[in-house]
Amino acid sequence: MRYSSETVERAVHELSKLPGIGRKSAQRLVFFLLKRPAEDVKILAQALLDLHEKVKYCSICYNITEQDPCHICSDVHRDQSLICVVEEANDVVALEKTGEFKGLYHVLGGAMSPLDGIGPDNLKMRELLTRLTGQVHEIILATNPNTEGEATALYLVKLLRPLELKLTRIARGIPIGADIEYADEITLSRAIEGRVTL
Amino acid sequence: MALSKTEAIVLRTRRQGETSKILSLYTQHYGRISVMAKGARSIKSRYGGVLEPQTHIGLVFYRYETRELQYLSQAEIISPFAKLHEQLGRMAMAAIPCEMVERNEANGHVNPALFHLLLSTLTVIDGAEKGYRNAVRAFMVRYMEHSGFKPEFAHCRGCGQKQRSDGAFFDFSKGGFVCDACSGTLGEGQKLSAAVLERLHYFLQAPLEKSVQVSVDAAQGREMDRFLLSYMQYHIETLHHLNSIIYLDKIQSTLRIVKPDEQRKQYGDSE
Repeated sequence: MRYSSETVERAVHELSKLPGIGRKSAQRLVFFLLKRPAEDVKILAQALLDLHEKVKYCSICYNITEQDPCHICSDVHRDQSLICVVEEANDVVALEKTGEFKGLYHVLGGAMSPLDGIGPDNLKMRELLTRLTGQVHEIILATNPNTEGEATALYLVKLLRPLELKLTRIARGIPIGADIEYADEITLSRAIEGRVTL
Repeated sequence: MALSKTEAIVLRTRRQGETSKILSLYTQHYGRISVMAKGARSIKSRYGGVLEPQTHIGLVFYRYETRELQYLSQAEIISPFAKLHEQLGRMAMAAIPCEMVERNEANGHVNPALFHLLLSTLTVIDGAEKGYRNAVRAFMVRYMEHSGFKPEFAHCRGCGQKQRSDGAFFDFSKGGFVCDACSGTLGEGQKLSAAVLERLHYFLQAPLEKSVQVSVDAAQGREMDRFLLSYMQYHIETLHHLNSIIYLDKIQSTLRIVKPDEQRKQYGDSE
């Protein structure tokens, strides 16, 4: 044991399991928490416990939620004919921040990756197909514009094309505020492919 | 620490922290290396699509001889392999040689010939109109040669006799086929038809880009693939259960269903 208290050792050990946190950072966090009022630490502990006790996956879109169906799926004012397919729940948060999208979501829970052995069976693809009833008219593929995200989008296109729905892909290209001069060939060619009429 | 410049194939990328990536590269002059690309996942990263897997890049990196992880300074695309990234089948095929090299090559073991073999394989998968699966088969046969397990398909390992028209037994431990007269103590192996032996011999000898012109029917393809995997796995432990091959089988089996009703049945109603 490195510390005079076994409790401190245990807290350091547990915190160092978090991504990006080594033993030294964990130790700093533990000593910070020791100096905080007991009430603050209790609130933090309760928040962590609630993560597992209260948060679950929506049975329709597989977004994280505390109520099932989630507030997006149960909102009758949203466009029920439009489903935006994303990789992770974080992507829903990012898209919701824009305030531009008024349809529904479907969270796949990752992307296809040949080297990690993640195929279609490991993602919520069959669950997406079961949602495609008569009222859905358009699927927006909003997977990440990287190799895994593109593979997932290509697979979904092959899978969904026979269903005769409108399939769209989010635009890819130059981000706002960037310089064309420094863009790479792939990004530039995607930007030219995805140009829009003004 | 020295600034080093080389060409590389991006084998794999892993997320690191908020916006960085760790790249696994197979380089022309330094073998397989791992490189940290700071900020590469940020939306305004200067690397953009340069650091995606299965891309041929030129790079400058800070090389620390005593460290496993190097740091990227600059990178640019040499060949984007655009077609390869736009078609699911090509992408899945290209992942197989990349995974083999990623799994089996030790960090820093330099082999420029293997770099060129990998580059040629990806070039053929990207450019060929059809038959690009043969390029992966040819890569596998040649990879075994690079690894010191060159298979012999033309002559008997025992007596040197040429192969007969009815095929032969390929003995894995001997690394070649054995004729009936020499088959006294057969080890683990597989019976191969003459057509498959002939094609595999061609893959080993002919320029890689010619492999796509060889006609291989479905039965021969299955026989060849089963043999290549078994032979590789017999000699090289790290090539057991390649994820890219499991992935390829998964996408091929699910995409065979094309009718909407059958699709729904396959994915939904059957549950």
